[in-house]
Amino acid sequence: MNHSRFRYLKAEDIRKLAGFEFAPRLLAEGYLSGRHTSHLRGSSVDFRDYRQYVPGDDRALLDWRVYARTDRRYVRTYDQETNLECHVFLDSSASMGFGQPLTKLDYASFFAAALCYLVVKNTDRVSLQIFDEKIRHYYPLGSTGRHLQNLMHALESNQPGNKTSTAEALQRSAPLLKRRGTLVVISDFFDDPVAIFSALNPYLHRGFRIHLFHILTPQELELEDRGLLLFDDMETRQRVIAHTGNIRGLYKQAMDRHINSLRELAMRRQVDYLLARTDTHYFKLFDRLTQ
Amino acid sequence: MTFLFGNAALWPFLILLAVPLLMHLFARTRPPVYVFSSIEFIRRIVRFTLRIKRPKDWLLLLLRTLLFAAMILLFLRPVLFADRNLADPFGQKNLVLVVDATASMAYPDGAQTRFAAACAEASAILSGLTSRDTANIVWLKSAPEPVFPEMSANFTYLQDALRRRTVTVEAGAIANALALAASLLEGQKGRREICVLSDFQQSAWNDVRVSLPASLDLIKVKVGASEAVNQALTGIRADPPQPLVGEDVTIYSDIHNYSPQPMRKTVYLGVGESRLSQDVMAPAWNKATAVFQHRFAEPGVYSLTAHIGEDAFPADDRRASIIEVREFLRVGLLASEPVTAAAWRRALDSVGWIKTERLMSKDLAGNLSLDALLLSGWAGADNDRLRRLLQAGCALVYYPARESPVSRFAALSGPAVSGVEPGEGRDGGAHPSTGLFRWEQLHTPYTLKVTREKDELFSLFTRGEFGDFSRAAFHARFAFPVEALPAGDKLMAFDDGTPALMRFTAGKGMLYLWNMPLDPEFGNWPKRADFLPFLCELLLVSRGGGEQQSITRVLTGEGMMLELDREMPRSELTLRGEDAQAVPLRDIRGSSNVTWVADQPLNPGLYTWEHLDKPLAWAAVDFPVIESDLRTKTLQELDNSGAGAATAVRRGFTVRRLRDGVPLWPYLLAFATLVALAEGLTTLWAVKT
Repeated sequence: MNHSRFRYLKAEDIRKLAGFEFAPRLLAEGYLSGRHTSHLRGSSVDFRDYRQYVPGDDRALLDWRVYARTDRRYVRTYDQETNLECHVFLDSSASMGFGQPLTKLDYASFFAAALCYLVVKNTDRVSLQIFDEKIRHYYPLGSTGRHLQNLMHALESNQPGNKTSTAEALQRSAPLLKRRGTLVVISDFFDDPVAIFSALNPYLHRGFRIHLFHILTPQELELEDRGLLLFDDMETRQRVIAHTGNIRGLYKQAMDRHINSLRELAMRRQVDYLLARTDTHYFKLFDRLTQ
Repeated sequence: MTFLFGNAALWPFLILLAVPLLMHLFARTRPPVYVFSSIEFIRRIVRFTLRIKRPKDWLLLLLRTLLFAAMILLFLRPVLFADRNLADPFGQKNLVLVVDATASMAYPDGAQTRFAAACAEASAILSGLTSRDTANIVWLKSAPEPVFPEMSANFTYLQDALRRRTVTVEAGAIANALALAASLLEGQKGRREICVLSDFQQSAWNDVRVSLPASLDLIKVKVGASEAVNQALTGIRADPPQPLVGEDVTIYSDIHNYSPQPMRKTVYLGVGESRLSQDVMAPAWNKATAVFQHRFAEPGVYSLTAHIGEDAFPADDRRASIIEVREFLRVGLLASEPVTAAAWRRALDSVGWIKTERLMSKDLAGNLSLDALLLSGWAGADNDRLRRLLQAGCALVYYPARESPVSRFAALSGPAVSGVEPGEGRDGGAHPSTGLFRWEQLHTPYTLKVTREKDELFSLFTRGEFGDFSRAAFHARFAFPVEALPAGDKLMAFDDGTPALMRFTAGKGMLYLWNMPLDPEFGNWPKRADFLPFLCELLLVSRGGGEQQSITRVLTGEGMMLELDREMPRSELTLRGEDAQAVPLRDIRGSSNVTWVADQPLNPGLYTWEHLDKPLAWAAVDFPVIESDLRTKTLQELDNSGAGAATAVRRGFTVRRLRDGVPLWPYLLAFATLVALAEGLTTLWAVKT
């Protein structure tokens, strides 16, 4: 498969990505027994450990010998080896079109393309959802080269859309995902952090492993002092006049508060959160995934 | 309040006030558009900072507008006039300065007297007049006088008159001065203005009600402070005023304390060659009296001078008078009824200090100088002459003739009782005899009783050392209708209440109705020991009428004059003060007499009219008491006083501000500087925050 014809998946990137081993880090649940171990209890060949029996456990899993010796009820657990199901959520709201020379959407698309490539390359399955305030495109799970091609085409044809509503998109997507797996959300997260994590709660309850990639440009992280400007909102088209020299301090404080809020909520829920600046290479995000 | 602008041509520059407004608006022009991913944070920040920044913007706009307004007004040179009526610096002004030259203006307020301050202020006001204006000065004193007979533009002379003028020791005729000022302004074109420069003493100005024409502006310029304190000698008198040799004389000297604190003062009294002194505590805002006792060994005229230690206002610290000490009382005796007259005469002749003169009826037509006149058996003739004697202070003891009309007697002491004629009663003749002094013999002797025991006449007899009237017995008396007499004091009465001695006041003298027969056939009183002291006491108490007849008292500023009924060469008559300096005189000749008048204002003191170096008469010039109270009216009181639509101001800068207006440019400059400073600080603050 010649991937160099895709805008967001270039041949030199594919070469560099060859060294990445994505799967060991991504503990996931798959429908096929395969290369990726899952600590979900079930029938498997690799014994994991014992644990106290609780009502509701399958009685077939009770270790009767232990019970006979100790008069205590223990069940045996096994590491289940399964394949990876990776669900990529790509924010394509209008705000993602911000950034020079590389927009946040471009940056996110590069990363999403590489991630899809890596998943498919390991014969795992990947899905792609492109959303703004609603789900604009949904590409279900697939692990074939054609599926990857479709995804690449989808990314290339994708344009920044309307307002951001990450929370709503996540809520709508929940019924579409049948099995637990890995959820990768790539967005600028210009949304209420509490609402975002409220939307993530169903996924967390279902055991999804969630990675949040917060894409921001340096200009968004720190306002440049360009004097008096008429700020034009890319999503709402609202305008406001402000002197960047006067507000940049407060803006930085507000942005830091927003990021810290996301980071704190993610930490509380054991969600992986990573702030990605568009002036750094997206490969560094894989470093985080492989840690 | 009116504004005038020195550079009114610069008014169009007020349009520059739009500059800061335009700057403010231009500063809000459309900045470059910056398409940004999400402005939610920026909007929140702007919303937050606008709460702080918007007041700053408005404050800056306000400060800059104020700065421009102040700068433009600065070049317009505005002048503020507090009184709208005076805001006409370009019109013609006619100004009469009424300068208070009364005695209180001599009080030194600080380094200069009130009068000097008033003259300086008047001179400053005159300096502010232009060649179009006219002015005059009216001196406020007892007889106000102008410097020029009409309005004049010769301000130099007026200022020179202000320099030369000295304050008087007179009270002021305020209403006359203002009327004179108003008359000087009559018919003048342009603005007409009276400016009164005075200390506005409360005592002098409280009752002043002046009605000036509405076209006249009245400005009251107050000089002097209201907290001036003063002590003044306000009176000196002797009791009795004309004592006899060897008689105890009480001399009273009144001291007024015009201050909020009680003051102890020493009053020094000079009586002839004797010197006495006494400490007196004068209560705050009240008076005290120093009382001196003295006895004269020789007859003659003695000067009385009282003074206190000099204070800041010495003009009223001295009073002078004279006291005439006599060797004897002159008592006339007109004997129509010989028995009573003989009893009186026997008694009077036994007293060394009484000189009795037996008079005939025709003597009444002459110029009698008597202390008392005893009329026995008087039927009521020559009432006019007797009344004249009473008016002059002579005491009359009237023992009526039998069956003489009561109305004749009543006419002496007051108006005749209407309808009561001789032989008639008040009820129109029902009892014809009731209008007469009807002789009545008593079968049972009546005794006397005193009906006014507190009267001075009986003070000698209260302890009984000099006899007891109640033992005197009378077998006859006059019966008369008491109601036909004017109101009088019933001093003594018989047992049945019939008046025995009545006293009436008539003019300066006293009139006694004597109803006690002295004929031994009808009574035993002349033989009693208490008769002589009683008669002497009666004559002593009744003498003089309480007034000194030998001295004339005038206030400063009033004309000192002596009226003579005969021609006299000017060289023979002299008026001398206490310093023996002769006062220039001028004569005013009438049809039958010549009046000599002092030709210059006299200071307070004692003066002697001399004919060929012999004293002819005495006169005392008194400091007017009204001028001693140095409290002044406040500006609010002056504004509210009834002297028309007046404007009251304090001297100095206030007057010039009122007349010439207040140039506002220094204030505007200071204001602009402050606003510029505030603008800079606000900008700095805005940048920092």
